[in-house]
Amino acid sequence: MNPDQDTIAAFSTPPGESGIAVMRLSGPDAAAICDRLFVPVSNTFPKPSQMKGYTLAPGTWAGIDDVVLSCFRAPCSYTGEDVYEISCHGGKAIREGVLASALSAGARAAGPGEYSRRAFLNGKLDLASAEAVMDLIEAQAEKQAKAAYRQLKGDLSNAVRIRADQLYAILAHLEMLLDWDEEEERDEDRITITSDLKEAESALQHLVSTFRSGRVVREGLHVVIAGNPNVGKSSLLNALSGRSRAIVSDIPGTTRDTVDIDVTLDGYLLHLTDTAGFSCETDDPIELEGIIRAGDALNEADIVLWVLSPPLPTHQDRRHQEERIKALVAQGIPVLLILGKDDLRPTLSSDDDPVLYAAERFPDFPMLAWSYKDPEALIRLKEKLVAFIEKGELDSSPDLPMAGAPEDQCLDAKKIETGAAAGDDFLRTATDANQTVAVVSERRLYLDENVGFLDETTEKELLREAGGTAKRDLLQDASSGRSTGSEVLITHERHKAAVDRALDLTSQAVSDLERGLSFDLVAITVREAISELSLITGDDVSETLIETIFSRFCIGK
Amino acid sequence: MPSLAEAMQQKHAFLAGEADIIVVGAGHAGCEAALAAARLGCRVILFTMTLDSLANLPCNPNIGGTAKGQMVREIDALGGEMGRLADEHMIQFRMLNASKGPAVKSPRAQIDRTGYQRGMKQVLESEPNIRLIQQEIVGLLVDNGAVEGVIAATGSLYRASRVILCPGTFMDAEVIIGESVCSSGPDQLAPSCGLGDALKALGLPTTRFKTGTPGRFHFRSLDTDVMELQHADAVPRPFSFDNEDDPSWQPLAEKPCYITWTTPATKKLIEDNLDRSPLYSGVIKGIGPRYCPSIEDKMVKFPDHERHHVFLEPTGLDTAEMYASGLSSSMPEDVQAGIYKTVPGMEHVEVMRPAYAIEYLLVDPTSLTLALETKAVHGLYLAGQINGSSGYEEAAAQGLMAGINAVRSLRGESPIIIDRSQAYIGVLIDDLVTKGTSEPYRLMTSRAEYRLLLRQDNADARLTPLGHEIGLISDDRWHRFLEKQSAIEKEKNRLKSVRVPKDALSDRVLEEAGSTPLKYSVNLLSLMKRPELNYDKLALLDPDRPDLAASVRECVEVDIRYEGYIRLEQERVDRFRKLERRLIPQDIDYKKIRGIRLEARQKLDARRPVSIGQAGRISGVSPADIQVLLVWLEQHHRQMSAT
Repeated sequence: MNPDQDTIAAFSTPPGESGIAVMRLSGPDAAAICDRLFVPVSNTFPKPSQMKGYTLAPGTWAGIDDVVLSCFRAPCSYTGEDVYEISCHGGKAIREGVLASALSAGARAAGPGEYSRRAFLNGKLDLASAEAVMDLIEAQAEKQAKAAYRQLKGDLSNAVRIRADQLYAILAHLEMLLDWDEEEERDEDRITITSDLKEAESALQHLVSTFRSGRVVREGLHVVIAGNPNVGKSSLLNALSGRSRAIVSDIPGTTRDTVDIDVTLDGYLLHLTDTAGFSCETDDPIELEGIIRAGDALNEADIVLWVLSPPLPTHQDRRHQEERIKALVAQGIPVLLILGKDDLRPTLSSDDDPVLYAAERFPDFPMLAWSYKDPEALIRLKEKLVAFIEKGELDSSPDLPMAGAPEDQCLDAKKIETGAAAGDDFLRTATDANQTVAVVSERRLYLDENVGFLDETTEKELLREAGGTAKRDLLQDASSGRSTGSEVLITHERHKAAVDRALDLTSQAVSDLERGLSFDLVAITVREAISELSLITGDDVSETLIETIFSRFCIGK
Repeated sequence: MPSLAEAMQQKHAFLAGEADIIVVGAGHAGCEAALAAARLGCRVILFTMTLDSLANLPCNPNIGGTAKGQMVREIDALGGEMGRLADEHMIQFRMLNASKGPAVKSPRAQIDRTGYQRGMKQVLESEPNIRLIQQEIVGLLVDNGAVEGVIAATGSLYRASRVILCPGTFMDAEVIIGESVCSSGPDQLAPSCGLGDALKALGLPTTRFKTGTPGRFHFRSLDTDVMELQHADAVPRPFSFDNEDDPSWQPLAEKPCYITWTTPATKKLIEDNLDRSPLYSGVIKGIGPRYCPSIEDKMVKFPDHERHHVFLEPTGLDTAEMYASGLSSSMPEDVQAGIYKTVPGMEHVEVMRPAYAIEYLLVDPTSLTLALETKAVHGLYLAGQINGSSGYEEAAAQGLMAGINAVRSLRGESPIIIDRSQAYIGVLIDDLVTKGTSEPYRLMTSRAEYRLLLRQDNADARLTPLGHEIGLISDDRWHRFLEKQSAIEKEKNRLKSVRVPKDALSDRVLEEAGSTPLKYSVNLLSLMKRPELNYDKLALLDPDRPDLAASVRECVEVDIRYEGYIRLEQERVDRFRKLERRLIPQDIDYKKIRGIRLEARQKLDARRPVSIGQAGRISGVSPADIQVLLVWLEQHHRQMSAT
């Protein structure tokens, strides 16, 4: 159903990295939502609700970004409703933050073709446009149906299905008590339902926490390699990409800026970012700038590979390193410790042994012993990354085989650098130059002269040809509603918002039960939670509920 | 179907009667339909196959229960009869779910069956606008798509331009007990043969359902000592708002129920004899209700259940017949006898009536409008089990609405359509007509989206103004209603104005009620919202409290304590109503609308929903189809206003 009185939000600019992105808010509450989120840069600019049509105001959006707000008053806007456009920076985290804040302030994610539909219903498009709008809706519906079908087959939607079924079972229990039980309320029913709801609550919490992986599948996993200078970060990047992209040398601080490479791994897209090493000992301004950028990259990471290699840094650097790692974890960014130069371990003093250091300072962290000379280590790392994408969490058991791979199994560095790594199923992609696409960041300060720029056309062609990217294309196609593809993000945000609300409602039901509220009220809240999930599962809630009651309980006297 | 003119051409044709409205069948639907139409001033002929068994309760001897009890209150609030009669013949009252919240509190009463039947007959006989006739109706007179009257089995003709069919489970009915299958209605009454063929000939889609009833047993043969007693509530409550707060109203008697359980031996016996069950041998083809399974069904579908409840319920004041709720069965008589021997307290039962299953013909309710008129034949209305529902209350509610709407149609007035947010009656009719049903439909509170608004305590506030507008509420009742509503408002305002100080008394009262002491003074209204408190527990802090009727106190309490939830529910209703108000022109040609998927197009074309809201509830119509429809409607609207 589509109540046209809602205020809707969506990005009008295509997804992906861009300098600027524009989000549109349309509907009666657009002004109120902007009032809640937008702070004009100074009081010479009006509050959003006091802006006239076609006015601009610079300011801050929900503390997320500096933006410019444009106001188009009804009926003089595209949709014929009050429309506010928020021009923000184009980074992924910023775009998501801006949209999520609008959704939490009362907007709803726009459905496919919804802006055009409203424009038509409000007389902004002429009659001849109606057919085009219908075609659009029809095409969207078909795409959505396909997307829904594919998503139903996907792990993520299966996960939603499982949670929804869990809630249906609880609601069926409640409804059975309300509709069919002759007796008055029993304590054990309240206890059972409360504990079942708590289980559902934590299952939903888990789902929310794994949602990252849903976006990762569509948009690619941002893997940031970090660590102190000269721990082998660039070698790790090269091994993962199968080519020599970053300059590898023994001189600390060789990588002065972030280096970005896109690779595919088992059909998933990875955005690898190599960063400048963190060091307190430098006063080289370029290196310092590189360190700042490394910090920015870390904040956008889906996962950080933090490399610890011998010789271990100074105590001061160690402390900084530990603080940084803990700060990342506190932000909810998973960190995999890479204990590098593992081949050197037998020669190390215990004071310089990263395994001992990590075990002492980061006892519960997932970690992996790594040597670029050991092909098994690369396989294990790739397995870990794929598992992370698919499960949404890191396997936390340490992966620390005996140090030092036998000499005969070692590959020489050159072989890896040329991308001819042997014995590696995952390197399907890396062995064929066509299947690995490198995009070098425009922010790069120094370039290895061996690395050429690829222009955009070449990049797209390569992406298209790359067999390994099929899964990504498919998913992007499935989830992309408009030709701009902006629903890649929205679909995700919409689902996330639905699960978030279902979680909130479930938590409310738990506290209502604990406060002694009557079952009829608790049932309303659980039903609302299910309705939120039904936005993803597409269930007819009443029918499914009644089926569940009858299949689970022997009803009738 | 012949027209009246054609039928009158026949030799010896006899026009035996004329009326504004003819009602066929005097069960709960037919009686309410006839009474509503007559009370609205129409001349009514009510046909029954036997005057000795109208308003029968052939299955469970009770009225009300979850959702159904709320609906009996709604029928009463609109001016129907069922609640008043149930109050007169009540032999046990229980308020179900009293501890589970106001939304699901449901009145239920055991009823003196023969008393209820006699009472209904008296009401019908004393209604000047009703002619009560014992005749079987076998055909319809139809001219040019509009009904003109009915044909009796004797060949006599009766004329009326509005006909309401309420044949219950009698149409082409077959009673099945094990291997025995015979053409019969419930309680060995004659089935109705002929009417079903007439409906098929008119092109109405029909199907068959199955339902059943357990046996009846002589009270003296039950060993009630080994059973659990289930007493009536200490404070009985009437269904009817007429009897509310009337100190002279009392149930007729207070007869208890008895509870026992099946045993593993019951299960084994049934499993050993499943091949003789007509349900599993294929004799029964009709679809039975899942909420009221036979005992053999329960054993098969829930093999892990050790035992199942059996309730022995009194069926009347002056009879020894006991109804064994939970033991519905279509097993052969010898297997039934074996089953009873395995149930504690029933080892030596004297069976007075065996359990049986009954299969009957019905019409697919999606062929009706929300006014319960057939889309195929103008002036022809269907109500009750013919529409796929089950239950006395569901039948009565449909009968009442069909009666009201037949009158309004006759007078050229728009039909009264009660929506899902107003009453269970609206949920019932919308479910049947919009979604259809694949089994005998029983109302449940979980079918209502706005359950918290559809309470038994506020049925009058929801519907009595409508009943008054329709013309079924007496002036006397209307004035009492207005007084009650203003008393509720007055008391809520008073509670808002009375402040409770933070002092030793409030500390003590709150502590005794299991609550926390005040931090600062608050009004009584906000104090009442604490989950652990209620109106009564605060009496000591409210010395100037007026002496209010129990019904007023109940409404005040629910309104205040659930205010936040009720407001949220009301917001949902407002959103729901927006879509219900987006009407679809009835001449719409779905075939011409591009972009609606084939399945949805076919469903929309067949069901002809009146609003966008109703269209969205049809299974197989997706949100995208609705969007296309909205765009089309706007396009259509603009073309209309342009020309």
